[in-house]
Amino acid sequence: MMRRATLLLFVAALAGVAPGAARAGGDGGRGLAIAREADRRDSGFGNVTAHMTMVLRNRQGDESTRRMRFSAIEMENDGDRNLIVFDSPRDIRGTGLLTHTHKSGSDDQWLYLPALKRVKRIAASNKSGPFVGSEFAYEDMTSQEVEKYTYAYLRDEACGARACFVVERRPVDRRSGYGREVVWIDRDTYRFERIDYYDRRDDLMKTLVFSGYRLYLGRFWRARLLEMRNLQNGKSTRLTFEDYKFRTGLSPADFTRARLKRLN
Amino acid sequence: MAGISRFTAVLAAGVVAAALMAPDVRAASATTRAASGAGEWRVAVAARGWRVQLAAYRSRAVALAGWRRLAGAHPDLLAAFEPGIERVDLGTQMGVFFRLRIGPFADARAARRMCRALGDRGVDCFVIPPETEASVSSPTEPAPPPATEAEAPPSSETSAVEAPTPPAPAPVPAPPVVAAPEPEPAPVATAEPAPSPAPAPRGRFSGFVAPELRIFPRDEKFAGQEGTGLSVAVQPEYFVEWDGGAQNFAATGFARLDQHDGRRTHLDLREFRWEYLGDDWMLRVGADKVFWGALESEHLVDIINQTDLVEDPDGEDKLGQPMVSLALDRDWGTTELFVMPYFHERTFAGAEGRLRTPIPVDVAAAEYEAGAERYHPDLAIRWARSMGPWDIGLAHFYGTSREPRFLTRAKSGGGFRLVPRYDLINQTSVDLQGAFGDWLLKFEAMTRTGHGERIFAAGGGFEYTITGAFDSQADVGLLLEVLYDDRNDDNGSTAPPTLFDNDVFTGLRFSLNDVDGSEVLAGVVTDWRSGARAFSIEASRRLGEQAKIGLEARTFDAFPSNDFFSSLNRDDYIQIELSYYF
Repeated sequence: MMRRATLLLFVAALAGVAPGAARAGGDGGRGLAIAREADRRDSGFGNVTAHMTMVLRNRQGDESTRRMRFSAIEMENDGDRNLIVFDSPRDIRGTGLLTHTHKSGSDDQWLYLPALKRVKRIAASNKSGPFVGSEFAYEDMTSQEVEKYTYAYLRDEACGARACFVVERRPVDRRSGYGREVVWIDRDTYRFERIDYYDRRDDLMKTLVFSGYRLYLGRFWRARLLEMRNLQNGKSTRLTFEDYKFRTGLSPADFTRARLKRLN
Repeated sequence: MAGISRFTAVLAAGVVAAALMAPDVRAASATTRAASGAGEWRVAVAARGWRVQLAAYRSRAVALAGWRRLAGAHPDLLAAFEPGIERVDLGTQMGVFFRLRIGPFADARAARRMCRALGDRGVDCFVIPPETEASVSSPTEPAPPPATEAEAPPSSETSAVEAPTPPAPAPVPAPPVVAAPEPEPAPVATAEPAPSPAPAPRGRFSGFVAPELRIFPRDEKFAGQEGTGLSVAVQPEYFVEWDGGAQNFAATGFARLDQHDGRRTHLDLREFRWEYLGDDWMLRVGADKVFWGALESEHLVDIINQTDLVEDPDGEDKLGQPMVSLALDRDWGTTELFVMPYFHERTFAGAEGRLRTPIPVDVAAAEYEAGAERYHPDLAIRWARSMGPWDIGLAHFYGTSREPRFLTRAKSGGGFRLVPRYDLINQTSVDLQGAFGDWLLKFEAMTRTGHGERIFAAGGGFEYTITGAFDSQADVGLLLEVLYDDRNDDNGSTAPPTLFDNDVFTGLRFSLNDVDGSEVLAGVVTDWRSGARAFSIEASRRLGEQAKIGLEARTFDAFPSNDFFSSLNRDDYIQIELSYYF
């Protein structure tokens, strides 16, 4: 089912910045500066666990559900490590997906198949494929590191009751399924409020809306609900996060291949 | 005299500590009362996880000062934590204490790890199991409650589960400390506590039932065989963990009832083991399953478990292996040791069954090299680590070969029996997998002594993935593996027969990436010397949330008549299996 994956998330840190890696657009570097500030504000969370529920909805309104346990840890001088373990659907229960994201180069990724007790390394180059059949692509689930895009500041605009920066970002990786993304970022908190995804033909493909934000540890904003609508195929996926716990004593050793093999 | 009073002091401290630990109704009501005071709010969830108690003090101000001293002395360990200071009233005898605690931790191991790290620095502490009822007040000064955003849906469940902290400038303000008379706040009690009751473990029962139809479109090949038939498999599973996830027990049973073949009707304990998870080690005792390897078409180095061959000729189904295994995690890799005191014989089809040798394997007459037969203790060691894009494993096994060779023995009434013979072997192996962009590289090799001449076998290949193939959401994987085994090179070989001596596997994996997780894997193994071919296709998709349908078909042809597997020729089958998960 999920032979490859990259992982989480808007949740996960928008990991550290390699200065100069991201290029400024023709906006005097303002878009990049906004992205860096959003990233800076989200650094230092340590580690986190949460429960995730994805409800997939097709054009006819039929729904199907996936439940997952999520954990992540910030690494010094490297991208985050994260682990997703499936609780449902039942045929994939216990399946674990471990990702070591890197600031440069390919991520490392392993899949644990409980029926065979087998850990398989998987190719982490698939960016645009759907994550477990949902409208979230693998690249939407990855930690959105600053240096993975180039930026251009577009305008300020009201977003709901708030005021937002509107920034365009273009994926650096040619394997991305997107030509560009337009991101609404809250001016006060630097939270992401909405992302419009455009495909390689520059047609609007998907819209992601973040809601139910709460503040943790006095610093870290986390959305409880992410709603992804695919405007081209009429499907949508609602991703809910519950029971966030920060700094729960996890260590990098809890995110290794050896530990993945011991998942229960 | 001094000795005695010191002893009583320690004893008293112990009693106090025990009293402080005990879940006390009075304590709870006292804290609730305290919590209703200004500037404090209930954070029920904080008390639910595993925590570490650093000390207990007589006053809040002293407790705060104690926290600042500890956090200042050990910023690397403690800087990330917001301490909880918990007021507890232990009645007129003991009086009021303020416990200094941090957490919650992910599990007991994480809490113990913190406590051990603190212990190494001379800081006494102990681990607090989750409680169902307690309140924690913030050590920071009075702060407004929940900083919920306007758009956050108001939900009582939410505010109970999450621990909102005040927005904006996070740094813990240093509240004015009430001038404490003592220069250094002395904790009242940090002695080892009497363990307080942890929550009762709750087990999880699950599993599946899977009826299966196997269709053999061609006639029986040998006398006594039956054709198309039904069977049903049941796999109940039980899992329970306790000790904050440090210990668990898992049991997985398996049973199949087959319409025709009495040998395919069988029972097995796939898993029945206790596990202890340490910080950097793991111990398992009982029946378990262990997989080693990288290839898709053959599992050359996978040797711990016996193959449950009647389940599927692909050899991927395994019997539970009784063992004691210990894993040690170090920076330079993970080392695993296995002691296996009992051996399971390979399962083979009976006289009524298909996919068998002309004379059915007489499993009841199995012969062993080891005098202790199936009770010969087998040993294995494996080292594995990840290095950049590579995962590497090295292993050695000594004990009874999982693969038997076959001997013909005269029957008393005339004719022959085919008897499996299990030799004692030494096998050394290496396995390797690497990921490079869209490419996965795989390699396995092993060398073995014990069947006569030393044998050597190796296999290597790749899987290349095209994502979004045909302008769709589907992925297509192209697989190629080359397999070599020298055991058939000389005609007098006494090694167990192998299908994969000079073979090429080519395969196609098709993943639709749809809601139902539909997937197809088709492949053919061809012997480039003899021309023998084995074709297989496996497909599956989910049906709703709790069921899955699987289709499998295999054909075998062009095996030369002198090949051990020639009896498989044209014994093709199609199998449909419906699994229901409970």
